[in-house]
Amino acid sequence: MSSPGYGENGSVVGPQNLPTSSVASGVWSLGEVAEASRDSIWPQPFNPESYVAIATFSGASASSISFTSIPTKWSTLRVRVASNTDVTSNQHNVVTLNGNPNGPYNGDYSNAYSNTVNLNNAAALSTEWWPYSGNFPNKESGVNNFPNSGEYWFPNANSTTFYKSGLFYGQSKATTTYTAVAADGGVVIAGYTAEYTAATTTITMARYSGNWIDYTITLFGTCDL
Amino acid sequence: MTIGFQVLAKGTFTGNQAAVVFTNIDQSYSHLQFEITARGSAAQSRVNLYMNMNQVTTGSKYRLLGTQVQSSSSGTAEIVNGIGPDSNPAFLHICGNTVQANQLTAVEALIPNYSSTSFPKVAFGKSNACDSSGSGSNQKRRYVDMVYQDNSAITSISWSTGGGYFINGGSYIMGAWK
Repeated sequence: MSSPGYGENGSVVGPQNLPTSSVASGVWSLGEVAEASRDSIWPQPFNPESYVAIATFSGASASSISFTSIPTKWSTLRVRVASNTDVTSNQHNVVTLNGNPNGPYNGDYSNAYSNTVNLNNAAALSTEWWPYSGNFPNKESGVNNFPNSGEYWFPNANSTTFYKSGLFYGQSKATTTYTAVAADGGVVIAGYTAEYTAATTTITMARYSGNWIDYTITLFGTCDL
Repeated sequence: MTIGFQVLAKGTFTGNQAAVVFTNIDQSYSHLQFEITARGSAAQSRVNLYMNMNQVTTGSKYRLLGTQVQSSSSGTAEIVNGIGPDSNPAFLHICGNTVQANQLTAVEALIPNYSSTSFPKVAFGKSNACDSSGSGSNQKRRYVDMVYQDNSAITSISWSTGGGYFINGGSYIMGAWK
């Protein structure tokens, strides 16, 4: 039980009325609201149990983007990507957590393209490439004039006990044709494990070659487990 | 009415749980989504993960179809080719307790139209492959559809692992979309 208070000088008689992150009863001056918001003790106008957009990068061209200072209250993070690229080979991404570019990452991937079910190249790989050589975004034929889209899923992002495993699935289409060759592109699905136990506070997504082109990349978070 | 995703239940595996059961599921949403990170206690590299609608494990009401990729040095793709009808098929996989420490499998499942009383239910699930120090060693990444041939509204769902229990510290979320 908290000690009884006597208010502030000039305030009404009685205990001081303090807000919390969930409740702020009574009448407040704008100055007090601003101060409480600054101190993170003012109720916020979003539901932290929903998917909340944390940050977005968009632009014409960038070789790398990085979400930094990610709040560790989110147990699940998702990065949704819509982008073109400007290279026709080595079209995969180097996804690193917390600035560990050469650490133990593992990935595997498969893809399907055109009118052929063609899961392939499913090897487990010691790499931070994600999807590994999966051509996302895909411009293999050199004629890609539309963005590819995909989602990276990072569950367990705020754990400090377990490694960070994730999944990617997305579209990797380079042409509007369906000629049953890999250059057409198709669906990519890929697994990933970063062998780090620290909570994820930075996600860097760099192109192995070339740039993100006409891109929108958004980080979402949910659930404060 | 809140539009979007809402977490309905969440938790962390504790006390060597053999299952997690979600009951009295709110029927006012359009579809359910599960996000689970888990590891089984069985001394295997991979164990089965079961999801049972309304906790039903009898009557051969389930069918599966999908793909899975076995992570090895060469890589092997497989089709999960028409399993069922079955009373309790393995929906997905999680890593067992012989893979390297600190590994959890990421699992996601979606059940559209779960509150319908007019149609069978179709769940889509995916699980990634835990890896053992880069070698893969018999882990499988799996993407499957599972049909539950019953028109009843889904009011409860159980998740359990084949043999043993969920290692403490993994987590689960049940959310729903409007």
